[in-house]
Amino acid sequence: MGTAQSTSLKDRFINGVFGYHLPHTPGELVEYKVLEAVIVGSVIHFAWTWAFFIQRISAVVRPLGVANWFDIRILFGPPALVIAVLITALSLAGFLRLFRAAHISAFALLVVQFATRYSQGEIPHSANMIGCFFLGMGLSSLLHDSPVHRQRFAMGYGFFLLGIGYTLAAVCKLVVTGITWPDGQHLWVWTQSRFIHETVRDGVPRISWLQRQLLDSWTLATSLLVVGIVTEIFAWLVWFRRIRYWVVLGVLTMHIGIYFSMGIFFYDATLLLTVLIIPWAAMANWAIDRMKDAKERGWISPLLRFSERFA
Amino acid sequence: MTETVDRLGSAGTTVGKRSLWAIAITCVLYALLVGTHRGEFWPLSIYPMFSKAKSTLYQVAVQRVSPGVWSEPEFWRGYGPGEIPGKPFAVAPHGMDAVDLAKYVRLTTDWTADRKQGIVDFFGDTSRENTLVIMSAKGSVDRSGKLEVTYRPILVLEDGKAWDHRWVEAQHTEKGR
Repeated sequence: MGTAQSTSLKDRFINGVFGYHLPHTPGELVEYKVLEAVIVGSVIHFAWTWAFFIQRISAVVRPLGVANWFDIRILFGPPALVIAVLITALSLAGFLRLFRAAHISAFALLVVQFATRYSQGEIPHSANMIGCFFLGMGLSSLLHDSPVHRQRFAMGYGFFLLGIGYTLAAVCKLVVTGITWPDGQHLWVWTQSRFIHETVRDGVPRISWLQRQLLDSWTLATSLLVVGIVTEIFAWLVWFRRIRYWVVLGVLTMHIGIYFSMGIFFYDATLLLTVLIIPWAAMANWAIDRMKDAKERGWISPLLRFSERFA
Repeated sequence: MTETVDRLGSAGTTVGKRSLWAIAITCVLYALLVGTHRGEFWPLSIYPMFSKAKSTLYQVAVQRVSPGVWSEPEFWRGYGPGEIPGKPFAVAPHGMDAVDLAKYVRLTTDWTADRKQGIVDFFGDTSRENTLVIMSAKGSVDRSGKLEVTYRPILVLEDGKAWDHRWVEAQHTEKGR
């Protein structure tokens, strides 16, 4: 029944992050395919949303990423639409396992599309985690032959970058501002700044009940910031499968708190975290076990067949 | 747990080593890319949002005003929150990104002809159909914890062109001669 688990630090790290040593279940195939569908859907959405915006820009305000390597203006206009077509075709080809380099090729083009779109000054971060998981999916196809190894690698790699990202965010705060970062006054300034921003964006600011309480109470504002930064500091623990669920839950709760206190909604990050926290594999395994004596396995059967065919 | 399981190999296999190398190379590339590109190389980032906590505020506001009201030098003074001329102009319904606008204005230190044309292009047809004032909103928290914000006009967009206070002052200086 499998090999004994090695106890070296390196092996414990690999086991914790990727879980190659654990028994595999058919439900995991379904879980991975659901996640991949959400990721690919998001990638295609990004590619086209960014492509249409690029049609309206003519100058580079602040180059990001690959825009520092060449004049990104050559991709303004129709070329962005061509890139969107290619990203769509390649990511779907990857989803259907048509060829191994499909996802990583789509990823490379998405990096360029991002740099083209976000050359106007704004530096968004909501889509970063989707990009990280997509990168993991692209690498998994190149590095591993077995579908199970690919899936475990892609998940572990995505979670690894997710943990690094949120912990780095905490480190940045403590390095740039110091231990006084959670001072409630800072939240007041950000909230007021947000009101002005929303007025410019929508015409009227929306002030929630929680925001009113935060503006009236330094203690409440400070407590909220302390909880937020502590959640970020320990986000790296998401690397390890045993505690992963609780860390994802904590980060998701943090994003919900950011929305109600600051009015900032990281849509893509929240979508990804919500998908990650739902126990798709357990649900699929339960459905499979319930239907195992029947000739047909109900709703899970076509889903399972699809997941196995395109694993 | 379903009956159909496949037991995988241990972490000491080629699969595990390959994965470890992928992680190690990623960490090195992560550090190199963000370290040499001002902390941002999508999807990698140091995530510096809200890292600089301060007691000061700098935002950008847009107001729609009546044509020509901006041609007097007095218009270009500072205003309190309850005194801002005109009415708020929402950019999102016109397909514009408020964050891009704010970054563009905040990063512009000298409103050259090119920078002005860029902001006119950003607003597109709305700069021909409306008289818009782009204002800075700067504030700070005083000792009692109260936030004081002052709004000051930076640019006016009218008839598809952009004007700043220097043009207005030059016009009045010319009239005075």
